[in-house]
Amino acid sequence: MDPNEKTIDDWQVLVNKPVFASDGKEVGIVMSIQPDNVIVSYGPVTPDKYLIPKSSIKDFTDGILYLNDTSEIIDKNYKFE
Amino acid sequence: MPDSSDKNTIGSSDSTLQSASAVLKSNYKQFVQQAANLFPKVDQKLLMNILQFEVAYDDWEGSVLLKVVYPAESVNMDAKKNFIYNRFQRVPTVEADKTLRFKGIRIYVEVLEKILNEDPDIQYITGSATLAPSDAYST
Repeated sequence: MDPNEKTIDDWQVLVNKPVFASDGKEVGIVMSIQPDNVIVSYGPVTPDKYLIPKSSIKDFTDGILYLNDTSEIIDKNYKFE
Repeated sequence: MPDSSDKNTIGSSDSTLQSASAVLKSNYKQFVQQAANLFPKVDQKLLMNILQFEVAYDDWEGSVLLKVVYPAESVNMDAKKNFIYNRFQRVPTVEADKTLRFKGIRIYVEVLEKILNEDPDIQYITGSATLAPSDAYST
């Protein structure tokens, strides 16, 4: 999947969809789409938030977003709040 | 019994209403798209809130809880804390090793634009704007 070929309209389909890391762990739900990144949050009260580059997206099938990175890498590199 | 001219008026009024809705939605979509293009690194919800407060309330103090996100690697967060302090006279806290969080006043859209231009390392700006001026100095 080449994200750069997608338009903003296409990316909006991802909002509210679940996100999974390459090791199968759930990362969260897509909150919003930025030009280069996807904002993902996880948790009900004080959610962790992740700024995940679109280049890290592996696939989007059956309403689920799959990432190239493991949950450990995502937690270390992309968590910002 | 209403004459046919009345029906025509009602009919044209309905079509005018639909057309107005369509125009409004189309313009709004364009506006949102333009905002995303002009401020790609800013949380669009925050941007819209600041815009709304600025335009609707002339005396709004620009009270905003700002979270400035930097890339995890290759950024000296102490230098970034100094940058924020020099700019806003507020000492930010660091969250998740890459986010500076502080509450400031006089943070308007122009200010967001300036700090984005001054510091290209900024990856993303989020936070929340509030109308309450008394909240401006709390942490």
